[in-house]
Amino acid sequence: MCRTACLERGQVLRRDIVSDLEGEWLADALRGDPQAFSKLVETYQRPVYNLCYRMLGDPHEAEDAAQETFLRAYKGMSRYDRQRPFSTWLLSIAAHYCIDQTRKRRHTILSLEDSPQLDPPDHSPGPEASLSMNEDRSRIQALLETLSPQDRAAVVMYYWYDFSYKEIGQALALTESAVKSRLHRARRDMALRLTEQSPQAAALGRIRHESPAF
Amino acid sequence: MNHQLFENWLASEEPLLPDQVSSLQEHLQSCTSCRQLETALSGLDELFQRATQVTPVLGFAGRWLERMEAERRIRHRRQTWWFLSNTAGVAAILLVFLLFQLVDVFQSPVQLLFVCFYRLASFISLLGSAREILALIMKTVPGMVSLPGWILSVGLLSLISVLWIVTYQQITSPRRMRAWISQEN
Repeated sequence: MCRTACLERGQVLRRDIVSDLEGEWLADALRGDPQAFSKLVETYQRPVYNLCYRMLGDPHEAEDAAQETFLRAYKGMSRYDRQRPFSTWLLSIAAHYCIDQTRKRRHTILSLEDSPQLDPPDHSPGPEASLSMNEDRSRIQALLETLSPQDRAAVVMYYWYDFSYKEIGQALALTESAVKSRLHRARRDMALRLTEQSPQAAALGRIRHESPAF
Repeated sequence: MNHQLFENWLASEEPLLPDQVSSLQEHLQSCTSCRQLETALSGLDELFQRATQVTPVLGFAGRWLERMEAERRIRHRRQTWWFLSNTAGVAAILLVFLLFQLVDVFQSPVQLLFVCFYRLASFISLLGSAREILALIMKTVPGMVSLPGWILSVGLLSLISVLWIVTYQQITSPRRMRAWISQEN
């Protein structure tokens, strides 16, 4: 249900629809055209940056990681398999880089002053709504920080990009059953932690005895 | 039934079979922890559902192009230094070798002068021999081949040269290269 709602709100990559223009950019980029690749950077900058931010929790590190992702993708275009969606391949690079960076780091500094732009910035919610959004964002990042890097990547791909278990497995070099197991455990742990930290937030979900599985 | 199974069903996004649904509903009526988990999972999904994708600061693609250009300059500088250091290393080795050779020279310069004059005389003698051989060839070969034979040979050589030049230009033309590249892709 959550992921269907995310689709309706246009938060998820439309991997099934690859415009002809994007196909041309990809073909030109495969021949080594940097201008064509920069068009792809403009197209995919937001999903890549979002993944990096959710993984690293810091906007400056996320910017650096996203830039590095595109650089690695540009240098490795000869290894790109055209049978796979470009977005999946790109996010796979981003996820692996962020996992490596997370393992190198000792602690994370979350800075609300240097917050990235949220979409849509022109809706101008009121101060109470802004405060609520900031609290939600902090809460989400705090929950994601409790996960291992690979679990975090799986959760981000699950919630923001509508990846199937198979696609998450391909992106993270895991089997489908391993992805299911990690996601179930991660969601369970985050749900219980959310309940401990903020019972009100946990209770905002359906309180009727009705599972998303129904 | 295994408690873990009910927790998996709660966390699963896949629709359950009717008998699984009824089992789960029956279990939730008696299990407080599973009810709490179900509520918590719903709250978690609600929280993530409200989250939007974050956007980088404006100008991301431009910064990426600058970074790529900076990387290219660094790589070029590194390659230049690598080439220069290799060349300097080879030059240093050759210089050391030359210095060892020059040690003998500084010890006996007169002997070196004799060797140089001898080498120069040998070279001049070789040039003279080559000139005589060439003159002999120029005297005998024209007599062996008639004038029409010469004209035919020169003509054939010229035609082959022209054909080679034209074929090379055709093969390396930009249009043909683009067609070949697109065919490869």
